[in-house]
Amino acid sequence: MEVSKTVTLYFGVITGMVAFVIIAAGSIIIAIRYQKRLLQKQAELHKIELEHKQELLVSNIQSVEEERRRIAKDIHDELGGIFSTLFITMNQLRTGDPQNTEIIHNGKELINSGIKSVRRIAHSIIPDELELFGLNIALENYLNPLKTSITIDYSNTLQEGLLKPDDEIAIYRIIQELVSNTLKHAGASAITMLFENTIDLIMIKYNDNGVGYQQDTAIKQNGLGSKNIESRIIAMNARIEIISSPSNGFNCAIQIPVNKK
Amino acid sequence: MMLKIRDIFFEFGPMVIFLPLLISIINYKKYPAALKNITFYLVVSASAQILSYILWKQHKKNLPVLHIYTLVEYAVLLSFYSITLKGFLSAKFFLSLAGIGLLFFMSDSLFIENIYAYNTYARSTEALVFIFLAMCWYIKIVSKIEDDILLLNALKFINSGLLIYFSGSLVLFSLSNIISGLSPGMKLNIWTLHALFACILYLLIAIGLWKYRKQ
Repeated sequence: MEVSKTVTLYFGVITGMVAFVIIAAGSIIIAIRYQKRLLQKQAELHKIELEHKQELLVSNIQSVEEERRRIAKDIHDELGGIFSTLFITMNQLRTGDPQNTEIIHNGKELINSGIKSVRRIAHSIIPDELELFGLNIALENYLNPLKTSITIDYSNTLQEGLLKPDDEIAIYRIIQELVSNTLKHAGASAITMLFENTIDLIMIKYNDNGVGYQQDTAIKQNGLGSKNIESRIIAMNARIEIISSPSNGFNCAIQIPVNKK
Repeated sequence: MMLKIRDIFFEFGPMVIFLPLLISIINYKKYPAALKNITFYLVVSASAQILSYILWKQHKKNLPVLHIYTLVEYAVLLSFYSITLKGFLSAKFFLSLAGIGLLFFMSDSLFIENIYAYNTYARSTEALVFIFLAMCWYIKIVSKIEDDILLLNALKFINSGLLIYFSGSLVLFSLSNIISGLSPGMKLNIWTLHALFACILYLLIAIGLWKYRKQ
């Protein structure tokens, strides 16, 4: 081979090899950048979708609570009003006949019992004290009557003003659900509840000393109560961790971000 | 006489293959089918390199090893792409590519080119096929979001390595027999450049496999 041809071939091959590699590397960079952008777009869409779902959930929970509030108010105001008027009307009856006196007395007792029932039902639908005095008092009022049947160790060191009214209702409902589960299914003799907070987190620890359950089975049998808890946890942008196994009781930890919205 | 960096690189560069090979053998059981294929590819490549090296040291002709290696490498990498491009290119397409390619490579070694010379037609055809398939993989990932992000990240490195290696080597594979007429120094430079591309390939495979293992 001639020297000039040899040199041309040599440099031609080297240049060709390097040029092809540069083209390949360029194509790779373009493809990976484009793909990254695609992934970013998908992540943004997913985030928007999640936020939308969460908004729907919050709005759904709010309308349920609003409806409850309305029903409780209607029961309390209308039925309570009717019972009160009936009581006053009965007071106006003449009681000459001793037989009538007894009937009127029984009637008044029934009306009183009716008024109490109306108050109790309205209170169970939406506790007044939750709006008037806040979560701590509402929970104490809810738990105190239960202490005759189960030992409850309730401790709340939450700073005031950390929770929004909607979150207070959500936590109240979650605790109601957890306590109801313990009473119905756990066969427990004690419940421990601890509410505390750090700078950016509110932490709720709930446990009972009941029979516990197999978590795999429980997840499959995810009932309405668990779904209610889950919806409220999602709506608060919170996290829940449940640890339970047969004979080891039920332990649950909830973490709610303080500045979550 | 001091060995030049180029000579050291030429001699020891191919040993980089043992890095991804080690990672893949350790984690083989955890791998999906595509990465198991890559492990097999590394085993085949390492074996061929060792055999070629032994024959070269014994001053025996080692080019027949390249002819056989081309066949096995083509089959293994084609199987790798048939898995990673599933849903993008049909199985029939891969079967045709395998049948035609292997038949052509065998004919090339037996009837067209000398078994003791470079199989330039087979090597360059093989390089073109894998450049095309590597490009297809990029088109696939930019047109459809993959579900398995873990595997996708590993494959990004592996596919990039293969694209760079085959693109860089295409000219060399096409002109291997003509290059034989160059001076020893020139040939060594060209083959060292090829060794560099091979190193890049093995390092990128190692990163891909390491990322999959790490995550």
